[in-house]
Amino acid sequence: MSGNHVTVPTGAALRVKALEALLEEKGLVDRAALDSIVDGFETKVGPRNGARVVAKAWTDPEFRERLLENATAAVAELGFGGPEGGHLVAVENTSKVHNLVVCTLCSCYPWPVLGLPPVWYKSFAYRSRAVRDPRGALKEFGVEIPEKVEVRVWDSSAEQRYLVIPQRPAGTDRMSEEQLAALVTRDSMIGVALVRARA
Amino acid sequence: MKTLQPKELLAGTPLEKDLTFSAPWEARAFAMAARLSESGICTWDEFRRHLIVEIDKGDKVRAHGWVEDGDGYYTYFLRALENLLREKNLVDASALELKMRAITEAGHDDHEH
Repeated sequence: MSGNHVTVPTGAALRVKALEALLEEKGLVDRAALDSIVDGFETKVGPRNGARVVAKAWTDPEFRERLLENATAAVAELGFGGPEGGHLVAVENTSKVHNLVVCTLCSCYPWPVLGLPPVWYKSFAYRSRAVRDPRGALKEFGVEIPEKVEVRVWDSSAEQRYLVIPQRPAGTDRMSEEQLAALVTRDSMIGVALVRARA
Repeated sequence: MKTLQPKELLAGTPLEKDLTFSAPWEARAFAMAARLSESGICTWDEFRRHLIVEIDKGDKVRAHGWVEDGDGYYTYFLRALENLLREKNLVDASALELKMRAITEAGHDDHEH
């Protein structure tokens, strides 16, 4: 043990500032690179990327096949990727299967297509419950999956991260890819929501 | 966009506000870990192993019915980052303490002038 230095949460800002200064002195990080990572996650990378992927999969059968075959390569076609995306796997919801994504041990998540995970995704409650009682967990998100539909739970890791392709809602045949993308929510790509057509 | 809140799942955690980071230090800590793995100083998986250990400690606390303030995630994240840097002999605890003191003292000096 190295003393009580990690137990004062009010000191977190100071600790981080000191760490950054030390790493900068060693030439291991620089302010500009860190700024650009933060800016990327706050303004550029997010669930809108994933929504574009899903809408394209709904409208372009060949892209859908490539996505199911090798999602990392397929999303790169749309310009999404990065050194820390891990290997991306797309799992498709159908009338027979509903997919749900969790990271039971920490917070692995498909950054290039969804950005950083929401607070509840990292919560003890979700991580412990999604595998043990996925239907119950889904109910709390307001999603009732019929008994005849199989619920598959995917536990993420640093190497393998998942993107759910939700079912395309009925009555959207005339919608453009862009209009469809606007219907797709972040939660539907984690598997805790269904996509609904807006009236 | 979401209309239904998963009440029980959210018990003990702050309501989702769709903020990427809830404080600037969280963003800096995240960026440091991402940058270190991006530039090959560690792998993300090495960092993740430390993160899992810290999250597991937090889970045990929660499972015993004592819930930490906030969601705690970035507190675990920061501990994991410090542990990784210590393991790699890049930043030890005493260097960190010294630097924190120097920053605090420099801050006080600024106020006095």
